[in-house]
Amino acid sequence: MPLQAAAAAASGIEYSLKRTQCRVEVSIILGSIIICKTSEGLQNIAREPPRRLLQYYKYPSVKIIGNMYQSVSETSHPLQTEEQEVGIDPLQSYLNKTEEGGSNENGSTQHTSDSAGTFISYSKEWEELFVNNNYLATIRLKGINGQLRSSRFRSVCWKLFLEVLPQDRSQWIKNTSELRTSYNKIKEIHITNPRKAGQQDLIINNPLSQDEGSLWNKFFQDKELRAMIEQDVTRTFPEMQYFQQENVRKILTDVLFCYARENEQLLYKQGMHELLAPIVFILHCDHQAFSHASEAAQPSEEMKVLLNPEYLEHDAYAMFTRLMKTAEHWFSTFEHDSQKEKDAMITPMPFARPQDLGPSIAIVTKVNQIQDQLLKKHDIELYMHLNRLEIAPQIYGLRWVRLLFGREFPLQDLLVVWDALFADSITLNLVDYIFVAMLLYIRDALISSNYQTCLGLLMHYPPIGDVHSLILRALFLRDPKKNPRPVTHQFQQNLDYYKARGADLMNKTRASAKAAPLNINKVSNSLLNFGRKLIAPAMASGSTAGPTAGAGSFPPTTGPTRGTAEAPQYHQHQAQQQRMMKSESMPVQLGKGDAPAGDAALPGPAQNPTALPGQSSKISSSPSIESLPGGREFTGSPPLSASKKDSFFSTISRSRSQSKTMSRKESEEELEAQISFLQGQLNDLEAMCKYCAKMMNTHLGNIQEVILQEHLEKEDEILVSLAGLKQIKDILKGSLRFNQSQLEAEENEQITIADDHYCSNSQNKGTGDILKGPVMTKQQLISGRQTATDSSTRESKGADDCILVSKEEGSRSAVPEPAQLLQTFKESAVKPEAPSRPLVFSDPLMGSISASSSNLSSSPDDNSSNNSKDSDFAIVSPLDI
Amino acid sequence: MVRCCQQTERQLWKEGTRPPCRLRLWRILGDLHIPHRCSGLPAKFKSLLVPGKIQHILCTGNLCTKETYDYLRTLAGDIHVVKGDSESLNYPEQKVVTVGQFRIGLIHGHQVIPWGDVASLALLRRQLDVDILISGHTHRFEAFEHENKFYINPGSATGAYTALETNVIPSFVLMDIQSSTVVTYVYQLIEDDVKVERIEFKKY
Repeated sequence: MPLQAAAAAASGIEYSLKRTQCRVEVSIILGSIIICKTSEGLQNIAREPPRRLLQYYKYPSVKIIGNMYQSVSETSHPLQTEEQEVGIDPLQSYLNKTEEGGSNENGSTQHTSDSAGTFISYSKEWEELFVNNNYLATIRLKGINGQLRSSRFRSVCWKLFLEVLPQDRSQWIKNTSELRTSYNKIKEIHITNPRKAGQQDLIINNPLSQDEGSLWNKFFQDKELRAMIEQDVTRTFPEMQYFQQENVRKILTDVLFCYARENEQLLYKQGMHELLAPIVFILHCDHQAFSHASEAAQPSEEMKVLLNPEYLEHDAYAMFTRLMKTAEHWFSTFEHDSQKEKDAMITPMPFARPQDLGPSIAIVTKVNQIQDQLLKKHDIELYMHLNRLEIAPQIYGLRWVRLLFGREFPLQDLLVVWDALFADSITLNLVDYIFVAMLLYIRDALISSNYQTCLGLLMHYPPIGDVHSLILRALFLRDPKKNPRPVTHQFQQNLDYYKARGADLMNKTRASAKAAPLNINKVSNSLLNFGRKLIAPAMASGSTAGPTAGAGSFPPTTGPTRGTAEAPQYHQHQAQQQRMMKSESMPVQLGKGDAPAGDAALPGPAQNPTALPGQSSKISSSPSIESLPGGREFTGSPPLSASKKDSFFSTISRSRSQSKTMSRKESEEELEAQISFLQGQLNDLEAMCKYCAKMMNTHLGNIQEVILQEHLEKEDEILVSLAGLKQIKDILKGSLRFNQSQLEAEENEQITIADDHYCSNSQNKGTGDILKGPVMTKQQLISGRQTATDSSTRESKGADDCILVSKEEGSRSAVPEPAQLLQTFKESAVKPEAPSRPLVFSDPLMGSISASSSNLSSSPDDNSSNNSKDSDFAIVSPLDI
Repeated sequence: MVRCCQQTERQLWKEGTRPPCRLRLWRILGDLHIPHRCSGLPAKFKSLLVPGKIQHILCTGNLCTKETYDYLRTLAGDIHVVKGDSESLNYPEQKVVTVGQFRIGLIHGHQVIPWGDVASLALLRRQLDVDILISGHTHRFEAFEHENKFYINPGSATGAYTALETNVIPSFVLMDIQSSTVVTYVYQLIEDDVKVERIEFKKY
C-alpha cells in the first residue's frame, strides 16, 4: 500500500491522500534515494527537498527502513542545503541567512505534513525571489551561486534569465498568454492531420499524391523529420523514468518539430532534444510543486498563470526558442559563404592542422577558439599536450558546447550549471570558461596520459564532486579581478577505466591504434635508459643556453633540450612551488609547465637528501646552492654543473633502490603525481625521438637518391657517412640499442663515436646539431687529456663538455697566432686555400668540411679522413702550446 | 572531419528503436499476372508508389513470379499474400489479418463460385468471421457494404485480361484504418489518368 501511494503521489496524477500517508510517502521515497545515492554516487540528492525528490520515484529499490525518515529529514532540509551551498561570499551568505532565517521555521513545518504551512513557505519563497525592487539581480546572483538548486521557481527564474518573461512584473501574465497563443498557432500550422483535410480535391489530396499542396504529401514529408526527432527523443535521459512516458515524449517531439518547422534553415539537429529535456523537466518539477502547494490555499493569479501545468509544452517551446537563439549557430552546419570563397582563393597554410583546414563551421571555430586562445592563455602546458596528441577540440568540445555540457554531468548538477549559465547572461558566454574550467579540472590526469586515455577522459568526463567549484573557477577564469580565487580541485583517480573507454573509442574511430600505454612500473626502468639515450645529443646542442634561462625565472615555455645540469635544483624549486600552490590553490599551475624534458624531472625533492651523502666532496656543497632561490650563480662554472649532473645520474640509479627509505617528508601522493607527470614527459620524448627518426629517414632517403643519380666521384664516402647517419636514426628510433657504456667510458666513447661520425663530419655538409655533439666531445676530450685542466672533467660528460668547448673556442679566437701557424702547416701539407681559413677555426666542423673539399683529387678513404683528423688535431694543438 | 565527428557522436549516443508510426496505410492489390499477361505495373502507378508511405500490403494473389513478390517487398515491409489460381509460389489459401478493431479476411476469389457473387462472398465472410473481406480474381474493382460488412475487390493492378474480360481498368486500393472507420482510396487508371475515389466505411 505505501508503495502504491508513493507511486501515485510521485507520478503527480493524483495527490488526494491523507496527510499521514503523505508523511509515509516521503519517507519511502527518501529511503530509496538514500539507497540510490550510495549505489550510484549521486551527490547532493540527499540535500534536495522532498519536492525534488519526488522526481526520483523511478528508483525501483524502494525499501522502508526504520528510522529513515528522521535521519533523512534532518539532512534533507531544504534550507539547510542553501546554507551549506552559500559560503562563498561572506556578505552573500549573510544576506541569505537573514533572508532565510524567517522561512526556516516555515520550512520545518512544511514537512511535518502541514500543507497550510507548505503553502506559506511556498509563497514566501515566491516573495523572496520575485517581490523585490531589484529582484532580477537577486535571482541572477542566486543562480550563479547555485542557490536555485532547491528552488521551486527555477522555471520562472529561467524564464526571466532567458527573457521569456519581461522584467516588468505587471507584464508577466499578458506576455505569457501571448506566447502561449502564438505557440498554439504554430502548432496548428505545422502539425498536420491529413484525415482532417475536408473537402479538398481528391486528385490532389490522396495519400499517394505528390502534389506540393497536398496535406498528405506534407504529412509524409513531416513524417521523416518526425521520425528523426522521435529517434532521439526516445533516447533522452534513458535513466529517468519521467522521459520514458509517452506523453512527455510527445511533448518533446512536438516542440522540436515545431521549432524545426519554424526554422527551416536549421531544421532539427541532433542534440537539440538534450537542450529541451531539462527545460521540460524543471517546468514539470515546478508544476508539481505548485499543484502540491495550491492544494491548501489559493495561490496568487500570477502563480496560477505562470505555473499552469496545461501549458508546459507552450512554455517549454518559448524557453527553448529563446535558448536556441543563442545556441542555434552552434548547431548550424552551414559554412559561412564569404569565408568559403576566401578559403577557395587562398591555398591552405602549409603547416595548418587538419581542424583548421576544414570548412569553417561556427561550432568548430568556437571550440577551436576556446582551445587555441583561452586554454593557451590559462594553461599552456595542457594546450601543448593536447596539440601534441592531436586531439582536436571538436572531438569532445562539439558535444560539450552543443549540449551545454548536458552529457557531462548528472541532471541535478547540470541544472546547477545551467542556472549559472543562464543567470550570467543570455549570450551564454560563460560556456567558454566552463569549458576551460572542465579541462583544468582534469588537467593533471590529461597531461599524464596518452592519446587513448586522454580521449577516454574527455569523452567520458569523470564525475565531478562539486559542480559549483567549477562554476566559480569559470568565473574566476573569465574575470580574475572580480571573482574570488576558488579552491583548486583536481581530478585524481585510477585512469584505467578511461584508458579502456579511450581504447573503445579508438577502436571505433580508427583502425590503427597507437602504441600501448606505458605502464607506470616500466617508467622508472625505461626512463634511465631513455634519459641517457637522449642526453648526449640534447646536451651538446642547446644546453649552454639552458641554465641561465631556466633556473631563475621559470619562464612559461621551455624547449625539450633544456639543460639538464640545473635539473635537480630546478626541480626542487618546482616541487616547492607545487607545494606552495597546493596551499594557496592557484588556479593555473604555471610551475609545472616549466619542467624540462623527462630526464630533468626525475630526481624528486625527496631523493636529493638521500643521494647527496654518497657524492664527492664537490657535491656536498650543492645543497646550499640548491637552497638559493636564484641559482644563477653557478651556471657559468663547469665543475659545479658537472657535479650536478653527476649527482643527477646517481640519483636516477639510486632512486629505485632507496625508494623505501627516502619518503620521509614527502607524501606518497606527490611521488605518484611526479611519476605520472614523468610518464607524460617520457611519452612526449619518445614521440619526439620517433618523429626525428622518421624525418631523418625520409630526408636521408632523399639525399641518397640524389647522390646515386649524381654519380659523384666520392660517392662511397658519402654513402658511408649516410650509413652512419642511418645508424643514428636507428638509435633514435630505438631499434638499435645505444651502448650505455659509450657515455661512461671515455676511451670507448672516443673510439666508437670517432668511427661513426668522423667521416660524416668531414663529408656531409647537411648534418644537423646532433653531429656537432660528438665532434665537440671528442675535441674536448683530447684537449682535456692534453691540457689536464681539471680532474673533474674526466668524469664529466655532455654539459661541461659544451661549456669547455665554448671556453676553448673563446680562447682560440683570442689567440690568433696558432691559427696562423696551423694555416701555414696546412698549406705545406695540402694545396692552399687561404681566404677561407680564418673562418674555419671558429667552427671545427666547417673547418673539416672545407678541408676535405679542398683536396678533391686525393683518394677518399685515406686522404680526406686524414686531412680532417689533421685539422682536428690542428685546432687542439694551439692550446697545447 | 566534422562529418566524421558527428558520426562518432551518433554512434556514441545510445541506439534506439524507431518509434511506431501512428498513421498506417494498407495497400490492397492483386491479379498482377506478370509476366504472363502483362509486362508490369503501369508507369503512372509505379511513380505513385514511393517507398516509405505504405507500411503494409495485402495482396489477393496471382503475383505469378517471385520477382513480383520481391518488388512488392521493396515498397512495404509487411506483406500478406494469398494463393491465386496461377501462382508459382506457395502461399496460404486464405488469411485473416487483425488491424485495430477490424478483422480483415483475404482470399483470391477463384474458390468462391460464382466468381464475385455477393451471396457467396457473404457466406465466406461469415465463415471467416471478418469485418472486411477482400477478394480478387474478377479483375474488376468493387467496394460495397453488405449487411454492415465491407467487401473490397481491388481489381487488377496491371490491368491484365481475364477469360471473360479483355478491357480491364488497372486499379488498386489504399486503405487508411482509423479507430472505427476505414477510409479507402481507389486508384484507377482511366485513359492514362489516375482517378482517385474515396469511400468511407464505419463499423457499428
